Amino acid sequence: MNTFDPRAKLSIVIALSSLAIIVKDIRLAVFIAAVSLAISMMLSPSIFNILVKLRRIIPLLLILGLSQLLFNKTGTQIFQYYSILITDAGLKEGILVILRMLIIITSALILATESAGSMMTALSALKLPYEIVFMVYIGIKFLPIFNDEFKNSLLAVQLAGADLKAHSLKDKLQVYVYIATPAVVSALNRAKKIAIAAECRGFRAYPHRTFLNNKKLELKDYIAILSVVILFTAAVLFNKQLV
Amino acid sequence: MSFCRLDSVSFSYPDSKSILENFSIEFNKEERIGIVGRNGIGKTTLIKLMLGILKPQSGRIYLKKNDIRHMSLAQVGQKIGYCFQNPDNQLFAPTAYEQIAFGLKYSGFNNQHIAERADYWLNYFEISNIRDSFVFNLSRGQKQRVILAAILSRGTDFFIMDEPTTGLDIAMQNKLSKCLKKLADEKKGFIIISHDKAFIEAHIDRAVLLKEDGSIKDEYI
Ligand SMILES: Nc1ncnc2c1ncn2[C@@H]1O[C@H](COP(=O)(O)OP(=O)(O)OP(=O)(O)O)[C@@H](O)[C@H]1O
Ligand SMILES: [Mg+2]
Repeated sequence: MNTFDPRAKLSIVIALSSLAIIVKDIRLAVFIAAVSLAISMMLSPSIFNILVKLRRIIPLLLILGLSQLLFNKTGTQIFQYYSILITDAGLKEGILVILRMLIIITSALILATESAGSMMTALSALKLPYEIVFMVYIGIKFLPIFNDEFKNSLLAVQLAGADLKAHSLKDKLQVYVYIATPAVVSALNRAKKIAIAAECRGFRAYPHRTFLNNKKLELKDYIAILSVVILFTAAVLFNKQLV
Repeated sequence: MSFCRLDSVSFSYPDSKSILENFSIEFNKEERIGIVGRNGIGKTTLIKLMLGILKPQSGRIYLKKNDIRHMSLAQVGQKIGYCFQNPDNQLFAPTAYEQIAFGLKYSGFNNQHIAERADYWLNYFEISNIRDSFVFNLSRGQKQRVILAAILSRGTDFFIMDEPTTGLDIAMQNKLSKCLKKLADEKKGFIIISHDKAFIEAHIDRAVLLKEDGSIKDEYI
C-alpha cells in the first residue's frame, strides 16, 4: 500500500501534527491519534516493530503527563491529599499532552516509510531550492555517525577518569565541550569532503537539475491531499466550536 | 589476587551471532598478557566487556573483587589505562597537551605536576613540537603517540592497549617497547592486543589465543 507520493504523505503529516498542537478536546485528540496510527499502519507493515523500538520514550510521555496532572492548578479540584492537588483541568491537560505526543510520533513515522532519496526528489518537486534539500538529506544521512562519535568521546572522557556528575561548573563545562568537540570537528571535515566530492561530480554545474525518477502526482495522491484539506478544516472548525 | 575475572560470560551484539559463550578467564595484577586471534574474533569486544563498556547478556565480571556493574566508567578508568584501537575515537581535546593534562587532572595531580608530567611524556614520544597543534589534523602515527602519552602519563597500575603499535614507525615502536619493559620492572601488569608477533612476544609472559570455535589457548611463556 506504500504507493502515495511523498508530497501527499507530507501534507498528511503536516495536517496531523498541526492538529496535534491545536487540539483542545480529548475525544477529538483520541480520534486524531487513531487516524494517525491507522494511516501509518496502512503505509508501513513494520510499524509495530518501530513502535516497540520506541518504547523507551514511554516514561518520558508519562512524566510529561504527570507534570501537567500535578502542577496544573487551574480548574476545579477533584482530589486532594496533603499538598497533592489534582484538578479537572490538570487531568485533562495531562491526558491531552500524552495524546499530542502520540499523534506527532505516529505521524512522523509516516514520513519514515519514505526513503531519504525519494523524499528529496519530492521536496525539490515542491520547488524548494535543491541546495537546501541536499543539505537536509546529508544531515539526516549522517545523524547516526554523529551519534557514534558522540558516544565514543563520552566513553573516552569517562575512561580518562572524569565523572560526569559532581564537579565545579567550570569542570562541567570543560567536560561537555570535550565530549562535543570530536563530533563537531568531524562534521565540519566531512562537509568539506562532501563539498569537494559534489563539485567533482558537477554539482550545480547547470542551472537545472534532472532526476532519474520523476515524481508525479497521481489521482489517488490528489484525492489524499484533498481529503486531508477537508478533514483538517473540519477538525479545526470542530475544535473551535468545542472551546 | 586476581585483578580481573570473567565468570561464564556470554555476549553477542544485537541481531548477530554470539562472540563469547560461557567464557571464563582470570587475569592477575602483575601479569603481562597478550591477546591474539584473527580479525573479528572478538578481542576488542572482550576488552570492552572487561571495562564495563559493553554489558554481557549473562555471567559476571569482576575488577578487583568489585562487580563491574556497580562501577562507573570513571572509576574503571582510574584503575586501568586503556588505549583504544582507533585513536580517532579517543581524542577529544583540541590539543595534545590538553588531552594529556585532562587525564592527569582526574588522576589527582596538582597543576605543577600536571605540567611537568605532560611535558615529560610529550618529550618522550617526541611530540613537543606539536604540543599545541590542532590534534584532529595530526597524522595517524602522531595521534597514536598523543594517546600513548596520555595513557602512560597517568601511571595507573594496569594498562590495556589495543594494537598500540599501529601507525608507529620503528623508532617509536622501540620507545613503546622501552616503556613496556619499564612497566614490567615496576611490577605493573598489562594486556596487549596485537597482530605483530615479534613485538608481542618480546613483552608478554602469558598468551591468550581466541579460537574460531569459541575456545581459547591460554599458555604461560
Ligand atoms: N558495535 C557492533 N555491532 C555489531 N557487531 C559488532 C560491533 N562491533 C564489533 N562487531 C562484530 O563483532 C565481532 C568482533 O569484533 P571485534 O572488534 O571484537 O574484533 P577484533 O578481534 O578486535 O578484530 P580486529 O583484529 O580486527 O581488531 C566482529 O565480527 C565484528 O563485526
Ligand atoms: Mg580489535
